[in-house]
This record gives sequence, structure tokens and C-alpha cells, in this order.
Amino acid sequence: MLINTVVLFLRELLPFLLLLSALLLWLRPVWRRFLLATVLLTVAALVLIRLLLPQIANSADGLGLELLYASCYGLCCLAIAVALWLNPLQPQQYALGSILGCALAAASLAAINGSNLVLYFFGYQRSDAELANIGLGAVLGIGIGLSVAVLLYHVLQEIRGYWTAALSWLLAILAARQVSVGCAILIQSDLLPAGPVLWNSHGWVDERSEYGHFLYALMGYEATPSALQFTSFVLTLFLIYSCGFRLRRQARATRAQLVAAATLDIGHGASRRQGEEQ
Amino acid sequence: MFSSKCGETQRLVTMSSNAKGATPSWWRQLSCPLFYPLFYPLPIRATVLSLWLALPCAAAVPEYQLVIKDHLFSPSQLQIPANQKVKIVIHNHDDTPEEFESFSLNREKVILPRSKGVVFVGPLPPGEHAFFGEYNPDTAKGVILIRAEAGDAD
Repeated sequence: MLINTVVLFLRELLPFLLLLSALLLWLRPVWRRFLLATVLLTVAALVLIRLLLPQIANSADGLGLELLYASCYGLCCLAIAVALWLNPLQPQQYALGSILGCALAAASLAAINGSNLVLYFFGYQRSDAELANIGLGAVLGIGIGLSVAVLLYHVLQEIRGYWTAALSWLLAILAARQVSVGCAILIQSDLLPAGPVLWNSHGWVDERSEYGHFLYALMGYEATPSALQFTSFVLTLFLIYSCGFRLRRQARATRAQLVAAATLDIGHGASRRQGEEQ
Repeated sequence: MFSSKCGETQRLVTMSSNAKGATPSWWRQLSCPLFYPLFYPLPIRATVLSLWLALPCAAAVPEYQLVIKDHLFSPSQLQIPANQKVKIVIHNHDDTPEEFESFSLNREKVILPRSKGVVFVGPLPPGEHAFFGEYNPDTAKGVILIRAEAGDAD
């Protein structure tokens, strides 16, 4: 029970925490407003899903949940793309739309994963011993997930000169992951054709291993991906990365301004020293 | 278009663009690469849309039943034909939710208490694929055996 809970929490929470750490790094100057919007949207979505779960699950010939989850994954990717496109890099330009876009992306992912955890927590009548195990497992799962997310945040922060490029790639990978996982859901519901299985990397990285779980959370890793999953991943990756070109351009411009200002300062300093010497 | 050599025309164009404002913001948003598919030629968009609409109307597929009771899958070994798409209907007779999961099949489906869920599998070559209930992985376990039928090339 303990190990199962840890694995379940890791699988459900890690994708959300990775996205959250990337978005927090980007929206550092307004992180309080972003977190508040994310929490409010997530709670509202979870309450709504919890209340309407039976109706949703039984709708569309039993495929209601799949359609909801696929829509949430699509919405997450769309929100990341729009936020990247609006892209206010300077703190004074952080528009409400951009914060809401990022919050919507995080909340839509949290709604999917959170609803599974809510089901696991509240769908069972459990004994005290089981509850203690589940509580401990949840704490361990959240702790491991948070550690990975915090590590990612600091690694990205340490890449000082290139953090915008790294952030663009990371957001593109995370958005592509959501689309790929959304496609997998539609494939299993027979709403999209899977195409052939492209390869089998089970021998290299087992999906049930620690690396498998991490890669699944980061990029929707499957040992036997279908052609559609792979194609959707690659297309979304480059589409979202290209959406972030304004972010990178602004970062380059800011860097150039800083270099110019520094050069000017050095020049002024040199001429002042020359004047003093004369 | 606006690079007219005539100074007067240039002035008028500038005035006109000033009067209407610069490029409208909605147009700037639409120029996002995300919306490029909206500008694909009509035949391509029509083909993609018709393919999308035709997908759910595909031919009927054979149906197989799987039951969850007391956190156990029944049958624990489900045989399905190779090289054919099949529909697996999972009935949850328990009072608790369960999540059908198979790593090798890339399938994951939450099934509410006293409810049923549908998962499509295949077409796949002969082989074995393990599945389990994610909420009770110690007891809810099973395997899907994909067998080549008589007369099948495989």
C-alpha cells in the first residue's frame, strides 16, 4: 500500500510539479499572483469534476472522462502557447492575460491528475492502518516530486545566460508531452488512429523504473510509442518552441542593452581617469 | 505593398494606417504559429476535417468483457485475436473505483464504482501484455493473450 501510494503520487503529481517549476521560474516577479490564480482555478476545476464525475464518466458512451482529459491536455498546451506568444519578459509588462494563461495551463493539468488522486483518496473506506500508510505514501510522493521540481528550478536558474532558451525548450517539451498523452487517450478511445508502433525501448528504459516514471512525467515517455503519438509530440515541440521566439528575442535585446551599458560605463570610467590624470 | 515611390501616396497610406491604428491586436495574435493550420488551403482543411469526422464511423469491432470484483480481474487471462482491433468493456462491480492500466499496451482508464469503461486495443501481433488495477496492483492483475487465429498468416 505504501509503495503503491508513493508511485501513484509520483506519476500523478510529477508532471504538474515540473510544469509549475518552469512557469514559476518564468513568472518570478509575479509568482504570488500566478500561484493564487493557479490554486483558485485548480480548486474550482476539482470541485466541479468531483460533483459531476458520474455524469461525465457515463456520457459519450462511457468515453466522457477520456474526452474531458484530452480536452484538458489540449487546453494546457494551448495555454502554454498563448502565454509564450504574449510573452512579457519585463516585469512591468506582465499582463493579466499572460498570468492567467500560465495559471490555466497549470490548473488544467492539476485538474486531471488531482481528480485521480481525489478518487483514490475519497473513493475508499479504509482502516486506520491503511490510512496511515496512504498518508505516509502521499507525504513521500509529494516530497520526492517537490525535490525534483525544486532541483529543476535551480538548474534552470543557474544557466544564467541561456535560461530563456532552456525555458522555451522545457515548456515546448512539457506542452508536447501533454499533446502526446492526450493523443494516447483519444487513441485508446478509438477516436484517433494509432498507426504502427515505431519502436520498443523497453529494454533500454522500463516504463516502471524510476527513469521511466520521470521521463513519462517530463515528455510522456512510452516504450512502444505509436506513430501518431510520436508525430504529435515532434510537431507540438517545434510549434511551441517557435511560439517562444519573442521571449528569446526580448532576452537577447535585454542582454545586448546590458552589455552596451556596461561598455559605456567602462568607457566613461576610462575617460574620467584620463581627465583626472591630466 | 506600401513601398510606393510616390511621396503623396506614401503620405496617404501612412495617414490611413494612422487613422485606423497600427496592425490590429487580434491579427497579431492570429499570426502566432499556433494558428498557421487555420490558413492552410481549403482542400487540405476539408480533407482533415472529413477524415476526423469519419474516424468514429469505422467498422464495428469485436467486443470482449472484463469484470472487476473484490479487486480481482475476471477473467485474469483474456484472449483476443492478433492483427485485429478489439473493444474491451471493463465492468467494475466493486463499490470502489479502479484504474485499468497496461504499460505495454499504453492503456490507462479510470472506472468508477458500479460502472463500466471502454478501452480499444490493437491491431497487435501475437504476444502477451500484462495489465493491472493501479489502485490495487497487488490483487488486480491480469494478462491479455494475443493469439493468431486459424488461417492467420502469423
